[in-house]
Amino acid sequence: MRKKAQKTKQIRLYLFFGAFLTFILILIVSTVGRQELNGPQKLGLDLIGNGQYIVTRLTSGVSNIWSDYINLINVRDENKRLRAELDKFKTTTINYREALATNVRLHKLLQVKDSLPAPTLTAQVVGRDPSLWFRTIIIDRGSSEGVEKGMPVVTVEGIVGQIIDASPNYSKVLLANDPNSAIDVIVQKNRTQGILKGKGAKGYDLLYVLKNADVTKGDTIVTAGLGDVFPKGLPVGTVSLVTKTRRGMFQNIEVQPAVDLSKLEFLLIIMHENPLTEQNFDKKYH
Amino acid sequence: MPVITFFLLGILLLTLQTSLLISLPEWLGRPDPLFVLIVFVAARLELVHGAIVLLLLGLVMDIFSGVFLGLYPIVYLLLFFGLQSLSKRLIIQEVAHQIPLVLTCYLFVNSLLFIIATLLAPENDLVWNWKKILLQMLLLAVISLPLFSLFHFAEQLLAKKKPPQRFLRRPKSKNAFRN
Repeated sequence: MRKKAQKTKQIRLYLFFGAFLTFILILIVSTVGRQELNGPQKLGLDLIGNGQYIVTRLTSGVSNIWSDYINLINVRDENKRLRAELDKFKTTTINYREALATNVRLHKLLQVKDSLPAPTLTAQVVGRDPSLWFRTIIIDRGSSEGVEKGMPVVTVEGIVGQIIDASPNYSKVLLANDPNSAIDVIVQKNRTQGILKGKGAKGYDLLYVLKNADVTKGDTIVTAGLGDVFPKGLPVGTVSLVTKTRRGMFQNIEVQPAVDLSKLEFLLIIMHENPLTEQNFDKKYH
Repeated sequence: MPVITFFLLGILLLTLQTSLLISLPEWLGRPDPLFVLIVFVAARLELVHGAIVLLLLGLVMDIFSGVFLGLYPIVYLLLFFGLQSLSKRLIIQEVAHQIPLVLTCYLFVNSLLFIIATLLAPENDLVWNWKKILLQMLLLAVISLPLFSLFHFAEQLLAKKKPPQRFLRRPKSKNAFRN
């Protein structure tokens, strides 16, 4: 009885596999020569396609990370090299710009130098007054080059100040906007005289100009040439404010400096003509 | 030795201050490390050494600043003797007092410079500029503590003592019952 049941089971199994193989065979035979996928094939494609998609993405992701890593090593080296090159070129550019700017400044100074009557000496600012109360600078020319107390110092734009002390190699210049500075000046348009007093960062005050004098905003102030310190006609600044009070004889006049005294670099010292000056000047600059 | 060292340090700071630091934009203010050194010397060095250093630094300052010779030595020596007499009454060497000390000294020195310069040339119109002074004081407040520590370190090295690990810390209490 048991043997019969086992045989029946085997026959069923054979029949099932036979039917399945027949189905597969029919499927294969039916698809040969066709160019379109049937339903189960499409389903299979979808399922496997999804798997393929995930695997490909993963693989390409890993592959990209790896290649990025490899590239990064190369890029890092290249980056280092390029940065070094860039720094080098930046430095060169800055040097060129600086040289060009210095050239322009010196060229202008040279033009001024030619227009000034007395021999002149070019100087560079090396230090500035650290205090809040005084305006002086230190320049790199001294008594060994003929620089003396009282010599005027100018730039292309106008007057800067005058030498108040000199060591053999360096000199101290009292800037025109120091409260201790006083210079004889005139209003260019009508030759009205006055005294220019320094007022620190606020520029200058033009003192002792009578109320009836015609001075207006924008007038140019130049050196008067009195006192034998500054040559006549050097630009000093322009009138920025004129006020007349009821009391007193004089006007209150504020003057805007022609030179930006906070950005001085190269200056010209107008030398008094003395034997030492001529000797040094001839020896050094001719 | 402290005289030479602090004098040379002062010269170095003055050189930096008149050339490098002066190139900073004006609106930012110009730090005054030399002034911190002057206050340090006035507050910390012994009588003879301190007086000599300040006199020398004052003479050098005369060369680089202003037009009246003798102005800075007088002002610095007045500051020195003022601080010396104060140090007997107040504990001005405490770390917590360093910033107020420097700022007070700055106001004192600048007031003296202003008054003396005005007395010497009354015809000149010196203007007391609070904005600039306050900006300078702010900068001094920022640089005072690190510079004081640095000068203290130099002082300790000169004395050939090992500098304490944290000299900004308050000195330990001598109260034996305190943990």
